[in-house]
Amino acid sequence: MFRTTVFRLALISAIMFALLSGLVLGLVFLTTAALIDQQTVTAINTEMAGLEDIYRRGGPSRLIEAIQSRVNGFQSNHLIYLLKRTDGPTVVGNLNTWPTVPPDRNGWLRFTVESDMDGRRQVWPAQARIVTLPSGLRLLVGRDMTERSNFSRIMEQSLAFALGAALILGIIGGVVMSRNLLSRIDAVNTTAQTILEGDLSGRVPVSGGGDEFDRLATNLNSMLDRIQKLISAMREVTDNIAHDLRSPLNRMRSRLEITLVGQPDLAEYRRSLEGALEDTDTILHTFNALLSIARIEGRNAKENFAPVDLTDLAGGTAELYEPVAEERGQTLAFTPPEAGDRAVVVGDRHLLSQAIANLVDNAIKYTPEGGQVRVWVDAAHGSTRVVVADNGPGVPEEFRSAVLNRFVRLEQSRHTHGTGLGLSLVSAVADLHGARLDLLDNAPGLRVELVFPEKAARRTPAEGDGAAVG
Amino acid sequence: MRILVVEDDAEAAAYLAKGLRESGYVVDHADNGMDGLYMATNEPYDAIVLDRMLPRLDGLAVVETLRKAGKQTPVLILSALGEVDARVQGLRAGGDDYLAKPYAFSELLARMEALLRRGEGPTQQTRLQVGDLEMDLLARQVTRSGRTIALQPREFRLLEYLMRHAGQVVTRTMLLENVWDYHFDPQTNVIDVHVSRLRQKVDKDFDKALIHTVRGAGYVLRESD
Repeated sequence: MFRTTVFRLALISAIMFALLSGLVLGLVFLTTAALIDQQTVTAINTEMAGLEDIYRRGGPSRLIEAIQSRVNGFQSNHLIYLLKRTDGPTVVGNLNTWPTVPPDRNGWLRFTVESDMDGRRQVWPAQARIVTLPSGLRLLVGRDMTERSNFSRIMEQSLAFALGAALILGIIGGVVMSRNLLSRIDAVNTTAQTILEGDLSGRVPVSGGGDEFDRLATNLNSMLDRIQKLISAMREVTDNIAHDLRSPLNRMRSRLEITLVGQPDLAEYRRSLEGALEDTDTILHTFNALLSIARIEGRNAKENFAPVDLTDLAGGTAELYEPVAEERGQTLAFTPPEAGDRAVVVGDRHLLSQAIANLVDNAIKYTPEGGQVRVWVDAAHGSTRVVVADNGPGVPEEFRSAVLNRFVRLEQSRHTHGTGLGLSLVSAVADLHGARLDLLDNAPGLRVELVFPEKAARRTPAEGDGAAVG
Repeated sequence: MRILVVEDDAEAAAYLAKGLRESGYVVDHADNGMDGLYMATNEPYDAIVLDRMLPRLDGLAVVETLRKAGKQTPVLILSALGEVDARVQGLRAGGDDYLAKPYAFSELLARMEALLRRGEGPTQQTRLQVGDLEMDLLARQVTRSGRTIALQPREFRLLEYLMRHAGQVVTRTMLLENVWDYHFDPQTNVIDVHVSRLRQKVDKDFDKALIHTVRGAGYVLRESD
């Protein structure tokens, strides 16, 4: 635990807190002490000035009188007085002996006083000033500094106590806090461990308090949800590839094996090889389709996106498929948007043309002879739509929603028609472009609409114009 | 015609070389980008088949270096990356054509021949002629034996492409890419329908057919059978 970041942080903050409280207390102490000292000096100076004034006016006798009366009257004021002849005995005052400490240049001195108070010997600090008067008298006025030193002692003690308490409390708080945080980080670690061991369903517990840890847990959980979804999607794609490729591979294998087992002539070898080549092409076709879908689904949106005119794309596709429809006895009609409406979206030109081609291809493939396939682009009311409608059998209502669900559709279409990956690709392309793929009842038949979001459609003309100008 | 094959997969290279030799080409092989670049710079090849992923020097770097050195030998890039973007990258680097793996050998051969013949003939042609079929590119008119054949704009471009590559096999993918600018494999064989429509107009009323189907490969427009 002592090696965890949280504990180290707690220790550092405890030390900082202790230092800060020490600093505050120290400052209070120092300023208070300075104030007290200042008051002491002022009091002594005032008293000294008063006494000097008395001396100047009344001479030594008046001074002695004044000191005498002060000594008797103001004992409790902590002031000390002593008058002494130079090189002679003390005259009057409330000090027993003249201090032995020499005064500084201004006459100030600090010394300790020993006295008998009520029979008890006492030692106390004092501060005083000595002034030499003209008549050879030396006057000492001072103050008992016991309170000042008591104050200092108390302050020093509380400072030490505060520092110690801050440190101890800080460390205890840190330990408690780090235990709490560690337990929550441990929960994340445990989840990660569960997932590492292969159980993707593990999730970080959320306490519900909505704090940073909850937000972290929520984000981690949504990330895990997404990863799990992607993995299961990928698994399904792999399963589908395996499923779709197994049968043609098996067919090819049997064909080659049977040819070898028999007594084939050259022509039969040739037929067998040609058949195998066709099988290979089928396999490659399916493989490429599945791979493209997976690539489109995994692609970064907006990569290589540019303004694309859907009228051109849909018109070109209709033109490409028109003879195919005609050969099947169908009609294929294309209607461009109303004059003045520009059906331009930002997207990948090749993918969009492939998607439209797949829709038209499907419509032609599943509409019986004599049917009608209509393709139109609608750019009115802000949204842009490419619509492919036929009057064939359509898709039953109950399958329509299933058809739109990626993998269900894949499975469904696989059973009903051929490789049937065309719509899966359209759906992937629609997703990439933020477009909606709607399957509607054309009564009769199926109407597939590729609806591009209003935002993309509206933003586009400006960009298109910019590109044209630049 | 000498062709350089730069491909690191020994087996694939062997098949490719065998196929090309059987088609009448002289083939040299390099199995890495450095050797490939060295050979391409120092020997007069008519075309280069270049794999994109190569040891020692990447395929794209080989083309770029070659082009910077002023070598204009046609380059066909082969790649396992089938994306349209990968194709654009290959062409931007200086490649002349791009084929995604796995490819059909007939496809590679057809594209190779198209690259080899590209330099032939005047570039600014205004008239194309194959047998009694004539195309006036300025007037956008097609006549056969003096009779005017009315074509839709797309049919005109399809025929123009076939005539420009007269005598060469042209695959469905090549037509889809060059006439329609579609770079994917449509599920239905739309090209066959377009070609058969064109045949109706160009060949139906005449004794000799000009548009021929090449089994397993594509089409060829030529005078004789």
